[in-house]
This record gives sequence, structure tokens and C-alpha cells, in this order.
Amino acid sequence: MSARDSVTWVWLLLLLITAGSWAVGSHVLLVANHLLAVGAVLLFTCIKMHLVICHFMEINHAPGWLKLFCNGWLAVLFFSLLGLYH
Amino acid sequence: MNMHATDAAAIAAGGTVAPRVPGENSLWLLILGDMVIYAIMFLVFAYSYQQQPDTFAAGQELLNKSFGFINTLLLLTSSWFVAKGVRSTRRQPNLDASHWLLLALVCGGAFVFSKVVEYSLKINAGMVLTSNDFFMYYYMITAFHLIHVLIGMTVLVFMWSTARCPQVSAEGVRFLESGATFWHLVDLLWIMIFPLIYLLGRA
Amino acid sequence: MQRNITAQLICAHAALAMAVLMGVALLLAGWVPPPSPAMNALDTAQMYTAGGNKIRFAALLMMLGATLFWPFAVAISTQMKRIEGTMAQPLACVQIACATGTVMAIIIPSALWLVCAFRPERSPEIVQALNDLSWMFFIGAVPPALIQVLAVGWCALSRSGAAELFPRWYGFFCLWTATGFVGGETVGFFHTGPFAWNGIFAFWMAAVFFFGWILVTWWVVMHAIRSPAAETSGAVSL
Repeated sequence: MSARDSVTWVWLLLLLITAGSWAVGSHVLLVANHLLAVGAVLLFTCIKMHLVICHFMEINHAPGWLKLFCNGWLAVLFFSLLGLYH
Repeated sequence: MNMHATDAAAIAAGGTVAPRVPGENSLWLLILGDMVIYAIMFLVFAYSYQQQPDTFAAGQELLNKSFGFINTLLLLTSSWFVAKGVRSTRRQPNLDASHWLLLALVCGGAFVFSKVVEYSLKINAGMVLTSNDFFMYYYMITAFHLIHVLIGMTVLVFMWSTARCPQVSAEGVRFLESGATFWHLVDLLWIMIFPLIYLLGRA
Repeated sequence: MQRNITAQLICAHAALAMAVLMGVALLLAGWVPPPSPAMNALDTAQMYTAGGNKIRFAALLMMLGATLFWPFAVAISTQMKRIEGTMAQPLACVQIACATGTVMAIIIPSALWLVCAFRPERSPEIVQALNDLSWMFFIGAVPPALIQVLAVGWCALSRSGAAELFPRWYGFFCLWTATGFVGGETVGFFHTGPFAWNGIFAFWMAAVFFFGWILVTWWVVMHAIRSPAAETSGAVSL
């Protein structure tokens, strides 16, 4: 039996990040530095996606090629979108 | 074979668990393939935003972010339910974990309902598919995702039925993992769609 | 047991001829990507006048290429029937039936292109209407191809013995292809952009998936035809 229910902790963390960005979101986007605001939103989005990929989809226990593809996909999206929205 | 007990024992013994692909290997052609298609859509959207920043920013203002947040919470929670259900069945195949999948279905249904309400409000306010390029992407991307939600819910029904078996076989567990992976994909994609369409843009 | 391997293989290889003919036709007519839906009637008529014999010849090649999809579809269904068994083969029949829709969605535009190029003095508004009609079919008539691909995919994934003929990854590949086809459904809504009939999703993505699926399916079917294992292993019924 698993002592640590990691899936539940991950879910709570995801809710926290989502709820947090809801509360803070409108203020963050008024930050003077636009790139910082965009970067922050993208960063938290990618963190959430990383959590879902690693813990829900169990990629953290997957073979190297699968980890590489998934994290590579995240990286491509993060940097491309950051570049497009700066 | 009790997979989790073996994993737990291996971890306890200080060794590492052998890497395994969740669900069946071939499924990942579909999962990764879908991720590629969506990535292209996201980038095309972001590029188009830069071509018409005024139109897109104005369109975003007209969207109700609350819908987006609630939908994110619904899918995250449904993903958690699915994860709980699959892990429970893996640990104890003779225990009925189907209620988790039913809960996930309820969340999925709520998401669909929310989308229908959101679309109806927009359409009644005159914001339709052909209004401008922003709303083209808004409807096309979210509707494409909604189709995936509906397909996912169909898969969840079959998963619920499988989980209800008195003793879920190894093949059944693998099917549950595969279905769960698809549902997590649906969740994953919405996590990006929401900020992209509703939040990110001009200051 | 008479299995008519040669005839089956010929039907399967029709896939290659189809792909080549369709590709050459589009290139010859200068329609990679297709002409813009935003073109006005005058420019559309001018395109056909200037295209002349190239468009006429392209239309012929396209019509022949499309027709060769029928024997290819038969080759696919012949394997699907081995998977589905002797009692009933609904998915194999659905595939063939939908293939007819896919074929007509290409033959009709070919005839329309012939008509558009037939009388250069024709009124531009009429040419534009016929041109619109041709692309609505060619790019926009997605449903037959969609159901066709889903039928094959479902057949590959649903029966436990199927993997001897259609590998599991092929079944998922069919599902992924179906996703790639969906972009063409909305060509009736847009004159420009990625979802117009010359756009990134409606044309390019759908074309890559269409030709990709033909080539991959050709490969899989070819191997399935040569595989006697399915019957002898008892995985599928004779």
C-alpha cells in the first residue's frame, strides 16, 4: 500500500497554482514588464503541464525516449510562445 | 501480478523501478501525434495574434475568463479521479474502483455543459465562428478540444465498465491505463488552451 | 486454399499509382496549395484560361488516380474480412462503402475542372461557382474519408487476433489520421486563413495525412496479404 498518495498532492498543487493565478492573474498582467508577465503565465502553465505529464501520465517512470519527447514538446512550446509574445 | 507491490518492494529494496510505458506502447503514437497537431495549432494561433494584435486583444476582452478557470479546475479534478481509479485497480484488481471513473465522467459532463453555455452566450451576443480571426481560432481550437473531451468521455464509460469487473485482468488494467492516458492528454491540452486563448497577449 | 495473392497485391499496389497520379496532377495544375478561395471571379476564370491543357490533363490524371483507390480499398477490406471472420464483416463493408464517397469526392472535382477549362469564353461568375464546387468536394467532403479511416482503425484495434494482420500501431495510426482530417471540415466557413481550402490545416495537414495514410496502409496491407499466419494460427477464422 502506498503511504504517500502523490497523485493527490499533485492535484492539490495544480489547484493551488490555478486558483492562485486566477486571484493574482489580472494584477500580474498589469506588471510593467510585459515579458515578465508573459513569462510568468507561460512558466506556471508549463509547470502544471509538467506535473500532469510526469505524475498523472506517469512519464517520470517511462523510458528515456518518451521523457525526452514529452519534455521536449513542453520546451518547444514554452520558448516558441515566449518568443512570439514578447 | 500485483504491479504496485513489486514496484514498492523494489523501491524499498533501494533499487529503481524498470521504466515502463503506461498503457500499451502503440497508444503513444496517437498521444504524441495529437500533441504535435495541437502544438502546431497553438503556434499558428500565437503567430496570428502577432499579425493582428488589436483584433485578438479585443476578442480576448470579450471572453469570460471565469469559464476558463472553472473548466481548468473541472478537468484537473477529473484527471485526479481517473488517476485514483487506475491506481486503485492496479493495486487491488478485485476492488471495485469504478466510482472514481463515474466521478470523472461527471466532471467531464460539467465541462461539456459549461462549454455549451459559454458558446450559447457568445453566439447570442453575436460573436460567431466567422466574426473575425480571433473568434475563428477561439471556436476551432476549443471545439476541436471539446471533441476530444467527448471521445474521452466515451472511453471513460468503457473504462468504468471494465473497472466494475469482479477481477480486473492484466489486460483490463492496461486498457484502463491507456484510457487514462488519453484523458490526461485532454486535461493537459486544456491547461495550455486556457491561458493561450483567454489570457496571454498584449499588456 | 485459393487466395489469389497476385490479384490482391495488384489491388494493393494501386495505392502507389494513385498517390503518384494525384500528386502529379496537383503539381501540373499548379495547385499545391489550391487556388485561394479569396480570388475574385475574373481571376478564377483567368486561372482556367491560362491553365488550359495543363489543367485538362491534370483533371484526367486526378480522375484516374481517384479511381485506383477502389481496388486499393478492396485490398484493405479483403484483409479486414480475414480479421472480422466468416459470420459478418460490417467494418470491411463500411470501409468499401465510404471509399466510394472518398473517390467521388475526387472524381467530381476532376470533372468540374474539365468543365471550367472547357469553354474559356464562359462567364467568370459561372466559372467561380464551379470552381468553388470543385474545392468544396475535393477538400471539404471529409466525412467519407473520416469514417473510412475510423472503420479500418477500429477493425485493427477491436479484435484480439487482428494484430497478426494489422499491427496495433497501425490501428492507432488510423485514429491519428482521423484527427488530422478534421481540419478540412470547415472550408465552407472561411475564405482565408488556416481553415480555408488552401490553408495550413484544411489543405497541408490533411494532404500530409491523406498521402501518409495511403503509403502506410499500402505497406501494412502488402504484408498482411503475404501473411498466411492468421488463418493457420487460429487467431482469425477461415
